[in-house]
Amino acid sequence: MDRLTPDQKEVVSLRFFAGLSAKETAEVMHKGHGAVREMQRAALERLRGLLA
Amino acid sequence: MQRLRDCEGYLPEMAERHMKGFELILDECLDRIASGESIADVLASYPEQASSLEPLLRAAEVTLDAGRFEPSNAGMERARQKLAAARIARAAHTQSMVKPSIVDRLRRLRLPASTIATIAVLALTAVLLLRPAMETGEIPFQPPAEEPAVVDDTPGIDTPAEPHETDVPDVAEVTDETAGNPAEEVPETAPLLVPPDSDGSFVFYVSDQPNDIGDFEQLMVTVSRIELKPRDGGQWVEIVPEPMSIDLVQLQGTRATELWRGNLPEGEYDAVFLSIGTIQGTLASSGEEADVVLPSDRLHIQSPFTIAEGEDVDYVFDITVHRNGNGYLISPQATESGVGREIERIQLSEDPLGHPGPQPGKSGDAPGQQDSDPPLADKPGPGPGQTPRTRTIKRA
Repeated sequence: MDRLTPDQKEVVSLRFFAGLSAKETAEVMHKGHGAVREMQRAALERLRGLLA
Repeated sequence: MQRLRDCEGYLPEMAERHMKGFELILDECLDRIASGESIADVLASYPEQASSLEPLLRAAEVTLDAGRFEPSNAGMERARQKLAAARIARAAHTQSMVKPSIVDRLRRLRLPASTIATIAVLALTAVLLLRPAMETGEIPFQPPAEEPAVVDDTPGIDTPAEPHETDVPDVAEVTDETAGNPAEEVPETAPLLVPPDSDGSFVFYVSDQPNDIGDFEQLMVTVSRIELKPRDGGQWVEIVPEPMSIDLVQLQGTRATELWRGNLPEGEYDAVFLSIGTIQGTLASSGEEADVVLPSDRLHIQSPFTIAEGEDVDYVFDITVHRNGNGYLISPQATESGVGREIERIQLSEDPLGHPGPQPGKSGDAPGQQDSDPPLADKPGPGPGQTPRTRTIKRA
């Protein structure tokens, strides 16, 4: 998780660990839904590379 | 060459649009996996994107497993408080954008008392002067009479009509505010209203994830309507539970009470919307009524499930309450909702507001009794040639 950017870490924490929806995550982070989805995808791409 | 130049701007735009669609699909797949579906089932819905989706979903699954500890109440509380604080901040920002009224502006001027008195006297004088005129219909100060317009009656001369402005209707800017925001979705056509059936195979339960429910002696809610959204975008299904007050204090953890039972149209569903009718909470510490609010008109959970012939489905809608400033906020708990949840069936006693409890035959008659027998035990067995009904429990 340390290899992720701070925003990506927060998205992963809120979406996967705290169980918030993408909409709720966007509200907490004061970002748009599209931005949250983009960060989510980028975080997973990075995690995929780290886990490979 | 010109067509090639035209493509130069078109292709990146296409790629960007394609990526945004993929991210929407990925988001939906993640919600489905978090609610217990397997990666194979999820990928089957998107065969064209499966090769791109699968590695990301595998990474998500590993991440979810790593975090699949029982999160501490403190951790979840912090996340919910962040959400509540963000909503309060947004509400305050919206409030500050509202233009102050004339009275508010005058108050802010902090005029001296003598000025206020002078203004009041002038206003009173104007009213007294105009009052007789208002009663008699006379106007004390009449403007000079206008000269009558000269009408040209000369025959044969057509005076062209003066051009006048036509009302050009404003073309409203159409914005699809529901795009990418499933919580705001509404059915495009009238939903199918499904009546309850005491022998139905679909059972809707309500439960409560304890967060700050411990602050309450009693937290009564009524559910006015439940809407189920089909995955294929077809006709929504609407079910209306019998009027019944539910005390969330009695439904903590795996304890759940049956709210509705019936038979739904077969198919795949991916979202449930719960409309709360009334909320009434009493604090344990003081016995006073608590200020409990909802985040929106409907509680929404993006939660896929399937209705198939001959299969029983128990669906749990988990609600939670947590502190929100000086009050409390009720919200859905997605991680504890859906099918395949371990539940301890509870029949709530008749509520003091006079609403009857569940009808006999649904889940036991005695109030406060724990229903330990599964409903199938009370149902007649299959007839000759009929397939036995089996209960499918989908693992979370």
